[in-house]
Amino acid sequence: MTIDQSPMALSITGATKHYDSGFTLDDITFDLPVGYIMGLIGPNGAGKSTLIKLILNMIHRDAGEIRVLGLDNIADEETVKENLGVVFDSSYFIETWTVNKVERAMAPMYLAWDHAAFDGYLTRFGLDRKKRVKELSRGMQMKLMLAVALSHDAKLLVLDEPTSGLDVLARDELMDILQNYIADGESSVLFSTHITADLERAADFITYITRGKLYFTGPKDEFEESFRLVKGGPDDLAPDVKGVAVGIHRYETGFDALVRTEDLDKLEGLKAEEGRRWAPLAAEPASIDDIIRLTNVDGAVHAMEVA
Amino acid sequence: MMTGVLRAFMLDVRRITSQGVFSILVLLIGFPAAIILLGSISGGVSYMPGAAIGGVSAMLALLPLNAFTFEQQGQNNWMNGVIPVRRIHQVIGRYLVVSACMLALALEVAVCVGAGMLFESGTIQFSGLIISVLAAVVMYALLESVLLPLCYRFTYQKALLTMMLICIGLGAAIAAVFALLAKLAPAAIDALISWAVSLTETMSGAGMIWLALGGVVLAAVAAAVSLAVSLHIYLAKEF
Repeated sequence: MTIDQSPMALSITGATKHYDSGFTLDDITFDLPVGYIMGLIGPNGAGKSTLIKLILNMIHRDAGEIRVLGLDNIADEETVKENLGVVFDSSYFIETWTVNKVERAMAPMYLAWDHAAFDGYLTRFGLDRKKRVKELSRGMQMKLMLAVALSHDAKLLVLDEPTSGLDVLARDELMDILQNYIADGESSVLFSTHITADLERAADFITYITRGKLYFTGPKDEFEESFRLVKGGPDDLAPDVKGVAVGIHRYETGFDALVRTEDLDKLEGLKAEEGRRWAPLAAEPASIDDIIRLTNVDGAVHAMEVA
Repeated sequence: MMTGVLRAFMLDVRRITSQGVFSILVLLIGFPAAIILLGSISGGVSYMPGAAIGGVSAMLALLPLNAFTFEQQGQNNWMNGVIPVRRIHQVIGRYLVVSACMLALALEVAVCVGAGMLFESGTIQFSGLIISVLAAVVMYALLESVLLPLCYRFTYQKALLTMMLICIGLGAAIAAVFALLAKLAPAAIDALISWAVSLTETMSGAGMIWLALGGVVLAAVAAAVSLAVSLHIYLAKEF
């Protein structure tokens, strides 16, 4: 089985997974086109890692279909994984292995293993071949996984919270690597993160999952433009605001309400009344953090927006 | 399929030799070497081959199970989800590792018993040698056939504990049956013993080939059932 010329690096349709604990990843559908970076975002426990494990067939899906580079991730598992580079938030190598042993263990796993490329990444990342995995910092362990992921001509990188243990410089370097990786137009990246600054820098698309449900998938700019942050004083939280707000956070001095851009016209408070210079409410662009924060407050509306 | 199985086999060998191959080689070479060394000094002691076989069997029984202990370290089991090897091939690869260990055991037993015979009587009795090798291999196959599915189902420590409990339970059950028979029908014990004696005589009378064939069939059936159970457990597993 060989990969076809699918325009989609990853295509997930109706992926569903129930856990006995009660958590359900429910009917997730999105596409990642070839040549782009997609950020998979959501609060802790939203289902990001569950989705990644479904892609890797590490857990069994209850419904839906997952296609990687046009191939079914279960029926064509070997071909799919030959073309997947994977980085988790913690190392999956045996702790007593040296970096050298990691290569000796991983190289026979892939037909397209490139020793020179691996060597180049070790040099670039400052990884010593003689060092044991347990002697490496969390950031260096992530770089080791990344070096493996990038050394077998993978067409899709799947990274689960790769930046969680990294300082700002290392995160910056990782984003540079990802940008270079997709520069050939044939490679793609799906990475989950809760550090939204990484998304601002690198992501072309965003898929936002919360409480196991898909909230948004589409271009990053569209995501940010879809919402506005409406602010007002404690007495300005009128019924029309409550009616259209996706989520509201009240303070002693006022409130923040996340409102869909198309609903802004429905808010009277945004218009200056006769005889007043200022409107009681103000609408500002919403950051990704604002959107995540306000769609996860109690009583947030779980509307789905699929671009 | 072969590529996947070979990849799984190679990865398991890497896991098993994670602490280095030196200690494993020392133990593998150590037992026959000790027999030869002690035999050449003292001229052979009858208990030596038995002790060496016990030692090497225990070591080789636990060796393939090291793959499970390393999988339980940190997130190493996630590697099974990353590599381009199907789960079914991962399990077959692990059974291939056990087969390789069984081959090593057969060689070790042959060398130890052969050397022991040579030092003891100056000649090698091939029928006795083959019986020793076969007995060790069949016992090994039966033991691993139980241990592997247990390791797939439970953690390594729990699997060993379960195996121990199974052995104790079997021993206790047999003892209880005999105790009961001794009390209720003492004649049945004599009948059982004479049946076992006649079975042994029949088997030795049947010749080496039938004995060997019986052993191989028993080991093969145990391994096949074990593989099927392990696959059933591992294919349903989530990590």
